[in-house]
Amino acid sequence: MLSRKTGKEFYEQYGFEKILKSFTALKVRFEFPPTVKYPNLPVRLDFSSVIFPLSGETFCTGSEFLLAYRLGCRIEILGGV
Amino acid sequence: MRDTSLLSPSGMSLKSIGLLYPDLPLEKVELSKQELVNMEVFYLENPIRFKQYALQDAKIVLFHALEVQNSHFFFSKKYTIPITLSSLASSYLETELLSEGKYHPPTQNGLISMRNIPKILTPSGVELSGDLHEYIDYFLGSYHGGRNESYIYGVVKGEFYDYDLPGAYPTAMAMLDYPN
Repeated sequence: MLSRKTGKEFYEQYGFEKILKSFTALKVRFEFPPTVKYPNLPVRLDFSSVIFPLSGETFCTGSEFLLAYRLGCRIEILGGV
Repeated sequence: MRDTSLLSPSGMSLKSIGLLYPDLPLEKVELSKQELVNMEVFYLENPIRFKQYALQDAKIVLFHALEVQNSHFFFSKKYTIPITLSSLASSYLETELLSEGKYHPPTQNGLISMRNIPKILTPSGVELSGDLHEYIDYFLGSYHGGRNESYIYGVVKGEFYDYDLPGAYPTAMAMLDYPN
């Protein structure tokens, strides 16, 4: 189980390969720079809608985290495995 | 309830499914554009042909479903109609690997199957699943389904393009690595 940390700390602790190829699942709070045209973190709005906002709180996989991180997203890991 | 388009390669039409069996009288009855536009008129004007059309469609579906069921039994010794062709394939692979002792279904402590999520979230499941119940939520929450967006709404005048990438997700996943 992961403790609270910043996305940068998480990335530096585990590295690209490990995050990509492990079965990583995270709960994150995030904020993309306003210049990002297509933010990639899905947020469930209700039972039938998923949106991709510039900021919010959501669950995501390791590969989604990596893409968001590469897009300059400010991420706070709230928990995960 | 089954959908034949999910039980045929790349969502074939019913006509193409009928053609998979050239030795059998399973050719789809073709209707004219006029007949297709108003089925009620078609029925009133030509009830015999209407009946032939409806029955032939049902025959194609039934025969194909039974063939898929037969294949499922042949490959996996399961006498049911799978939901999709891919589930037939994974069922076959699992049966083969299990029989060779190369596959062990994922369990926690040998007691709780990781496939049976509702059982994990019961009083006995929580106690018997080790710490699985603590992190299963992260995996469940991370599954959002495919991304599908429409950026512009309204009437389009002139040409427009609709891009679809069949199998985009599994293709990207296959590029990652082999699962361990």
